[in-house]
Amino acid sequence: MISASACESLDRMFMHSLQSTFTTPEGERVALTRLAQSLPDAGAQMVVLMIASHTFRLVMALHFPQADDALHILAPGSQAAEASQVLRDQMSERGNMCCGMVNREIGRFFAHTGMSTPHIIDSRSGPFMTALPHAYASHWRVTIDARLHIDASLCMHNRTPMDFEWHADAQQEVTGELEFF
Amino acid sequence: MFVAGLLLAGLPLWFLVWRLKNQLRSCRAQAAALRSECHSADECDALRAEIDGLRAAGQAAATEWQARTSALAAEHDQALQSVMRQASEVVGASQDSAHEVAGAIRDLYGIEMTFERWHADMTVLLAHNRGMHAKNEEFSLIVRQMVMVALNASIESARAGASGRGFGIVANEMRSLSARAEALSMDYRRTLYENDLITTTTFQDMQAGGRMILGAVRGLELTHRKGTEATALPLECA
Repeated sequence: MISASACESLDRMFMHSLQSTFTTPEGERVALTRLAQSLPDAGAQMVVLMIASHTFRLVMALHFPQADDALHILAPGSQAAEASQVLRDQMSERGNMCCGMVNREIGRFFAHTGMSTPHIIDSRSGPFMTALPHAYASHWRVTIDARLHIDASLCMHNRTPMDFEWHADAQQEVTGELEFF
Repeated sequence: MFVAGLLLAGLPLWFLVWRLKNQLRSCRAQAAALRSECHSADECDALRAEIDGLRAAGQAAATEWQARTSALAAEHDQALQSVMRQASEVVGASQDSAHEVAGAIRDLYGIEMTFERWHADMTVLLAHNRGMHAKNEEFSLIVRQMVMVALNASIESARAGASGRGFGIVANEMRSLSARAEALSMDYRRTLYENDLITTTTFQDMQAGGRMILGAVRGLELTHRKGTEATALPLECA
C-alpha cells in the first residue's frame, strides 16, 4: 500500500528532478503536463533506470525522439556522423541526473537504496511499464520547445506500506540551514 | 582589778586558743584536701589504666584493620589481574573476529563482480532479443508477402472461373493462414518489446539491489573500522 501523500511526494520529486534536468533552449524552466499514458513518437528510444531498496523498486523511463529531432536542443553542434552515439550519451546522462536526484531525495526516508545504470531500449516497450507489478504510476510530458518534447514515466512497486511527505521548498530550506552552519 | 587582771591574763590565752583552733581548722582542711587529692589520684590511675587498655585495644584493632586492608588489597589486585587477563583475552578474541569480519567484508566486495556479470548477461540477453526482433521483422515481411501472394491467387482463381474454384479454396485458405501468421507475428513483436522491458527491469533490479547491498557493506565496514580502532586502544586500569 502506498499513501496518497507518498504518491504526491513522488510526483513532486519526479517533477522537480525533470525540471532540474531539462531546460528550454532559452534556459527557462520547462513545462510539465500529466499524461494518462506515455505516448512516445515513432522511432523513439527510452532510457530506463531503477532505484531499488529491500522494500520497493522504482522504475523511471524517459522517452527521447529520434536523434536529429532531439540533438538540436540536447547537444547543439554535435556531428551528424556520431549523432546516434551522442544521443545515447545524452540519454544516459540526463537519465542519470534525473534518477540520481530522485534517489538522493528518497534516500532521506529510506536508509538503503541503490540505483542502476541507465539502459536504452525501444520506446515501444514503454506501454508495458504498467504491466509490470506496481502500486503507483504516473506519466508526464516535458515540453522543451515547440519541436521537442520528452515523455517521462515513473512506476513504483512497494512490498511494505509506504508513507512519507516531501516538498522541494522544505528540503531547500533545510539545505540552506546546513550550509549556514 | 582582779577581773581586769584576769581578762588581761586570759586575753593572750584566748588568742592562743583561737590561733590553735584556726590552725586545727586549717590542718583539718588540709587533711581533707589531702584526702581528696589522694582520692583523685586513684581515679587518675584508674583512668590511666583504662586509657592504656583502650590504647592497646585500638592498636590491636588498627593492626587487625591493616591486616584486613592488606588482605583486601591483595585480593583486589588478584581480581583486577584476573579481570585484566580476561579482558585481554576478550580483546584478543575480538581482534581475531575483527580480522575475520574484515576478510569477510573484503570478500563481500567481490560480489560486485557478480553484479557486473549479471549486467553482462543482461546485455547478452537484450542482444539476443534484438536478434529475435530482427528475425520476427523478417518473418513479418514474409507473411506480408504471403498475404499478397494469397490475394493474387484468389484473384487468379476468380478469373479462372469454375475451373479455378478448387484453386480459389486453397488460395482463401492461404489468405486465412497468412492473416493468422501476420497476427501472430505482431503479437510476437509486442511480446518481444514487453520481454525487453521485463529483462531490463529485472536485471536493473539486481544491479540496483546489488548497489544497495554494497552501500550497506560500506556502512558495515565503517562501523567495523571504528570498533577495531576502539579495541586497539590499550587497556587501562584506574
